[in-house]
Amino acid sequence: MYPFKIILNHLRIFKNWLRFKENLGGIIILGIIGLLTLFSIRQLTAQHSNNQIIQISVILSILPISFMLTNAYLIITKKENKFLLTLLSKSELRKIRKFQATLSNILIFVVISFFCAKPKLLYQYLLILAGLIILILLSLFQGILILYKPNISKNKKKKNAFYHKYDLKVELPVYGLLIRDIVFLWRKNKLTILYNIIFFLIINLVIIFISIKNDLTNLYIAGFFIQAFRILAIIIQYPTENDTKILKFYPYCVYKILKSEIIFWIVISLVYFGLLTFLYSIFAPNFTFRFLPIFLLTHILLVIYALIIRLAYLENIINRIIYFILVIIPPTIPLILYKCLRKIKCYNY
Amino acid sequence: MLQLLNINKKYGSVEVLKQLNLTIPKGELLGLIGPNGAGKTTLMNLILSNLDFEGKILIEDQPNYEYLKTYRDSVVYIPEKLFVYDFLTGLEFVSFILDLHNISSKKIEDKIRILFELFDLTSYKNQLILNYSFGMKRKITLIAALVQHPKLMLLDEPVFGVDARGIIVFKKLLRHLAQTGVTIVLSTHIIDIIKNLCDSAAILYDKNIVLYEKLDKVSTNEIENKYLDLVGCDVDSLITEFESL
Repeated sequence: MYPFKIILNHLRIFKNWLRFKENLGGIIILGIIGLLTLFSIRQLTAQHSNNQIIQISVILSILPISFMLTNAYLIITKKENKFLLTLLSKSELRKIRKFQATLSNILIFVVISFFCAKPKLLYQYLLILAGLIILILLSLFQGILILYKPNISKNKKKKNAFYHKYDLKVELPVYGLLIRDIVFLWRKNKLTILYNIIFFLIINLVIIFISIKNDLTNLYIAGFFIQAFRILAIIIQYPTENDTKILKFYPYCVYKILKSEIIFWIVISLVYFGLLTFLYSIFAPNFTFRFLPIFLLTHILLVIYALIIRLAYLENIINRIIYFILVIIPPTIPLILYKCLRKIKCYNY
Repeated sequence: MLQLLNINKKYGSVEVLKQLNLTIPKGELLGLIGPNGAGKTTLMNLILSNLDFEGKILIEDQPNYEYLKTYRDSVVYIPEKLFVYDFLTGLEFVSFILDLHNISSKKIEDKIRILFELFDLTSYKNQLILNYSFGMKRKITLIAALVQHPKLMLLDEPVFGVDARGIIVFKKLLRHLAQTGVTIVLSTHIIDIIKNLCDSAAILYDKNIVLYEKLDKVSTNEIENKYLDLVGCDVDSLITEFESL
């Protein structure tokens, strides 16, 4: 009964959260955007009920939406893990989180895919079933991931000069901070990185799958923005806590931290999008390179913007932005997809 | 009865507890003191089976993990680091905790009402915890703990930030619980609380329990002096030096 009690408590918290006008207003706006996009996709699938590729791509695109919304839910409830561990055993909590992830994924996926794709044919039902199996497997992973706590020993913490605020008094080398970022990201967020790799893989597989038979420039733009936004969410989210603490004690470090972080994230972005371009050029025959410079330039500007926000050490605002990004990405996926699919119409599918 | 036998605990290569032995009889209220980082919170987490360790912990003659499997509801833990749901009201929070312990809040409505009154939170019980002060948040966790009828209570700095009235009420209720057979381990840095409240005191220092005494056999001044000896600080002479400056 524990899972239901906890879910019920979350609903109660949500109800109380909506007591605040600004929260209610935000949810209504997001709800309207979400519903409009869902309706437009529903309209589109109805118009192209004979086009197998459109039907398949709509159902496939709902997979990452369900995964991300569930993940947002799990991240929001992550704070209570330690507290619940004072009442429940670890294995009980693990089971509860797995159950919550599975339930949320199934609900979102089934409701949206039935609403948008309106399945009639056998292959559509089979696809939904396959999607459900994938999501259930991913749910088990998501449920455990949210409980994962890196085992950093006290000894290691003390030895690691990058974390020690007093070391910053003396020197703050850009190179040192770069290494710190890499060490920090890998040591503290191994599974988050892994989860993001899965997310990026799904998105790109869907894009490549659609691109094999269609010439869709808009699809690449959509894919780029979805991934760029996800990277921005990561930048804002990690490793905020560390820099926030440092900057509280040493505000004059802003410039040096900013410089190293910009270099770090730009290098990451260049490597990532470079790799992506390489893959697209192999698997998606219609992919064109002409958008790449604009993509990269936009992304670099967005990276700088995200870092400035993060380093402003306005924790509450950052939390709101993270929440906003996590909520806003899923509705944008079908919206952009819709634009892409309209393009198909021009090619007489 | 709570027994800790030959407990060893390491975080990586850092040894926190070494060959620790402690037996707390049923219905005893034990005050646990020790310097910061001595391992008091770790010890509580070991009892709760939240961490791996070497050795044996027995609760009522059963290994702790076995006992907790069956009687998880009869163990109450108040952690030092406070967690409350900001978007629940005080009453909703207490009801949720009771619900997780399979206790119907309706059945003990009067008990809840009295506790809210005792801790001076009646007028706040339907307000969101978001609007509570730190001390009030602490009080709501105390209410959630005291409203249950546990067999074992592990309290880590439970009255930190609580006002004088809250502390008095808490002490009286804790005393009452101990008299009804509840075993209580109370970790605190305030020796006065141990003096006024506990049956026995234990000092956790240098990975082990270095002193465990019934308070009727030893005075709290002795404990205070012993503690200061252990942590290697000659407070009186340093204060004299400070005053002379």
